[in-house]
Amino acid sequence: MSQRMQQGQPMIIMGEDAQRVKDRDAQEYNIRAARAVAEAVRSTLGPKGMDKMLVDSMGDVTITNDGVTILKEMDIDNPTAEMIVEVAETQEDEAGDGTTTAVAIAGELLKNAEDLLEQDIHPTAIIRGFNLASEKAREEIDDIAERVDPDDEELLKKVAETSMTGKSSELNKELLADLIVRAVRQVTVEANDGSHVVDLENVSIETQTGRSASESELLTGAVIDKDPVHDDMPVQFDEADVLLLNEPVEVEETDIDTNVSIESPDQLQKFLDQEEAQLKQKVDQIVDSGADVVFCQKGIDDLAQHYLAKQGILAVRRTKKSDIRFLKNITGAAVVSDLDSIEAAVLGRASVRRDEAGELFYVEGIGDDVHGVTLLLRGSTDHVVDELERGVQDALDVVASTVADGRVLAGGGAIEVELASRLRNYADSVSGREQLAVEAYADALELVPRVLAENAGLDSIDTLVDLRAAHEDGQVRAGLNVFTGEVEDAFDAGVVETAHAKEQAVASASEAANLVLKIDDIIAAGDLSTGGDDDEEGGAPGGMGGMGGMGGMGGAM
Amino acid sequence: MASRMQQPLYILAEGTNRTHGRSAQDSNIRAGKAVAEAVRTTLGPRGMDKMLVDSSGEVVITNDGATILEKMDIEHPAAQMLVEVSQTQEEEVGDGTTTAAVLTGELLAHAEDLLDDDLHPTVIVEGYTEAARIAQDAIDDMVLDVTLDDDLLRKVAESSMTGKGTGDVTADVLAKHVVKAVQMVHEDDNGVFHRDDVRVLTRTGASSSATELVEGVVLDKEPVNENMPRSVSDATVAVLDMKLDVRKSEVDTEYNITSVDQLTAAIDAEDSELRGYAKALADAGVDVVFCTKSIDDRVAGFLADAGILAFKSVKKSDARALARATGAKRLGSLSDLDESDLGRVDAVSIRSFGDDDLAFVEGGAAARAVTLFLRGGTEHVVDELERAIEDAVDVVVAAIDKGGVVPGAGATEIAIADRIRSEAAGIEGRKQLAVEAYADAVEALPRTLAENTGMDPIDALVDLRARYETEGLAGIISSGRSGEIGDPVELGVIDPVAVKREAIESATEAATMIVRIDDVIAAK
Repeated sequence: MSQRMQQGQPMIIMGEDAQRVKDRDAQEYNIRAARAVAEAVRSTLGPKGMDKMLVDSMGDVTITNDGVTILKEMDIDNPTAEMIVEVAETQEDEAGDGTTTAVAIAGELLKNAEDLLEQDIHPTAIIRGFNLASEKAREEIDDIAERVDPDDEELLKKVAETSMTGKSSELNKELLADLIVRAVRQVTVEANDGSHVVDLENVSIETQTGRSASESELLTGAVIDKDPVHDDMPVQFDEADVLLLNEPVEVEETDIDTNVSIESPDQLQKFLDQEEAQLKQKVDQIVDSGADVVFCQKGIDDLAQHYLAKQGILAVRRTKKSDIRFLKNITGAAVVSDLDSIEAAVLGRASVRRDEAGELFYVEGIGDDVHGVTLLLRGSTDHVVDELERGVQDALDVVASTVADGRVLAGGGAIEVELASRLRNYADSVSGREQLAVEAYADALELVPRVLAENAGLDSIDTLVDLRAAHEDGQVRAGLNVFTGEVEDAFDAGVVETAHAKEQAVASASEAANLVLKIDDIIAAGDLSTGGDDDEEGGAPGGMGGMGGMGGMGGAM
Repeated sequence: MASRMQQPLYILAEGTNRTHGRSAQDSNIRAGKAVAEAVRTTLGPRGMDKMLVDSSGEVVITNDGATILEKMDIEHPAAQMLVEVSQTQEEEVGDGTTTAAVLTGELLAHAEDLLDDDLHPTVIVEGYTEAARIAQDAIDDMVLDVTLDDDLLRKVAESSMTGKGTGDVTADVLAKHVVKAVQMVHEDDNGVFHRDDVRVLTRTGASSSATELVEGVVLDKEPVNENMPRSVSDATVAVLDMKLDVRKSEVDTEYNITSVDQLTAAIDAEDSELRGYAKALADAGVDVVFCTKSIDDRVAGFLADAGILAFKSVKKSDARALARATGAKRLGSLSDLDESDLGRVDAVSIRSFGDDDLAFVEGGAAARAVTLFLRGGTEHVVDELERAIEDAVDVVVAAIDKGGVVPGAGATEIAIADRIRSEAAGIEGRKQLAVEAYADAVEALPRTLAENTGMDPIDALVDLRARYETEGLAGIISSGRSGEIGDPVELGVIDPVAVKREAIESATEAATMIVRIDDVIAAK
């Protein structure tokens, strides 16, 4: 390791175990750490990307192609590397997909920055240049993006398929894309101003092992993984009144410890009778409300179970809170938290079916104003369905953001090459050393097509040159077909990405790179692992405010 | 590509083990193959058993793939994927676990050759998936056009049991029991089959030929009181989910007594409460009580006085079966006891086996639960018998409920391989090689079968193909010290189609999952 201390008699002002890395050493250290992270995920990029197998200290295995999952599970023990992981997490939260791209670009930006640093360009100049470029790139994305009709299902399917390629969900991508698009369309509402709002809260994903992924299905309604509390309860209803209850059907107890002294058996009997009466009353309240099915978030007393079974009411206890919320959307019921104030109006309507083999309930809403669908994903083993779920979740996010945002881009590296070429043009208009940074930024973006080619076993330089040539000819949508190695219209080939995810990837990659570049001093209280506390990393975001105005110059390009 | 070479920088926690690229693939594939290798000798009627000894010295002797893999204490993460495949197979269809594991191993072995030939893993994945699709079509075509009568189902059960340690009973007797058991409870009123309705209980002693089918439930329970009748015929049954004990309130209550009279009154009250239970049951005409909770000793005495036979702490699953056999409802309170809540059976009898008493509940009114009561010389014998019977029940159910039957003895595999090969030629690109490799991998199953039977695997395979070409059906039939090529349907070697389907599906998904991995990062 190259953590050489400054020469001369050092003045020790820190604790004995503290470590300090300064100046070029610190920059080098940080850049290498960040690049190591990027290096770790780049082989997963694209349709020919590979998966990683991660084994945690308990021996649990995760097999995935999903950037953010890899980074989270990797047990990274380095402060800088963890900052890069945060990029992936932000990307996942914001856009739901493109995490690998964001991290790979961040790594490439830092690699190029290293060269600039070697040419004695001050980090602040690089940062400013990167900011300009990022600002410009986002403008250009908006310019290049094609507006789409959110009702264009064919296109939405392409977006979903593009997101799934390279993951194991790819094998059934036509089916899954269809399910995903239908799910999103079910929960899309058109707002008054004509924009589309997608509420993914109303799409739930359930997984089941056994059978193959091709038997996955979309259910309008919820899947509740619970058993009835009593065997003698009915489990099939075509039209049931559903009560959602957030109160235990149990004997009420005081919060304070109470100890009752009694003198005769009669008194005891009264207590017992009163308790029984209380349970009976609660059950009667449920019966009187007209409910056929009760989903209770809390417990149900044994005796109450008995009475409910006698009344032919299906009751489920300890239903998950998230399930209750979902059932609320599906059935249109209100959640009752006090049985004393129950009215018939709070009941929802739904059909209930029981899957004995899977020990599941299917609850399907009845009526027009019910929203809520469940994607039931199947796969042969736990690891297969887990990875399937990650792939589908990402695709779901991407389709939802396409519907809401209405902008798409040609994938297959097309957008990156186009951006790079536009940024290079723009660079000429930037004065000062920042110009070099803008150019470096353009080069970094081209990493995406390069890695796509590399992962497919193609020559990355040849590919890049071909792509550049095509874009020079004005073919904005020219992307790489990794299966044939040809350059073709990615849009026509069905490789479509959302503009939103790309914007987010560009933005978060630049910010992470800038954050790392600004550091010239790492002071760790212990050794440089994240077992100890992180170092200073506060400066960078503040420096960006002033840059916004300059980006506007090249807007008409 | 080549990043600047410098001192490596560690971003992972210390002790993390990372292999990537080809070495990761090699290690995963080797692990997968090793697992498959471990179980392949158990395949088929002439397959051998394994003896597994765990860290506490416990011994298991078995021929069942899922059991072997589960007990083998496998640590390698990729190998665990294969164990998972066999577990899914077990859960879904109950049999064919060895087949699924061997097929996964073969698919990986062939993937290794393809990787050597520079096929990209994603191409292999595509090819395998394509081939699996063709295989499913081939299976569709192999489904036998026959009615699933008892005779046929018995053959299915028998095929599943051959090669397993079914003791000295020849498989056909057991098969008869299994089929009868499944037929008796096959569908309830909603047309749903509950697998739990066919129960298996084992008891050492006697020989496995003493195995019998009980039309009802056998409980491993003794009556709560010695004075209760040991056999009741034409009995009314109550299944209780409540304590027969002095009731306690939810709040802590405490007697605060100042005179003897008060104490007496309290004792009397408890006494009459306990008597109340026995009276309520006796008044309702109940002869036998099954209680999932505790029964107070005094209540037990009162019940015995009333001539009622009672069992306490009955397992929930047993209570469920009892309810399904007798038509009784499960009661949480005696206060609103109604005649319709009770069930009826022809006979309840206590029989002694060695030191243990077992309760036989036979001839229930609802007759929705049956028990296969297995006997065997030793613990290990009955355990292995139980595994074999459980599998046999599963395959019979699978044959009835999940799409019928196909010829066994490797005949279906030969047909699959043939179909894949003939369609492979029409597939463009490098994918074709992977599709062909899949056919080879599927053929490993009849090959292994031949090998375990004592035939020369190559000769057998060639003969099988030739015979399939001319007659469209050929399997490996073991006879005497070796085997021969014959018609499996004629000889009664028949498998449920669901077992084949699931094996193809899960083996393909697991193998493709492993092939796609190029990086293994293991925390300490």
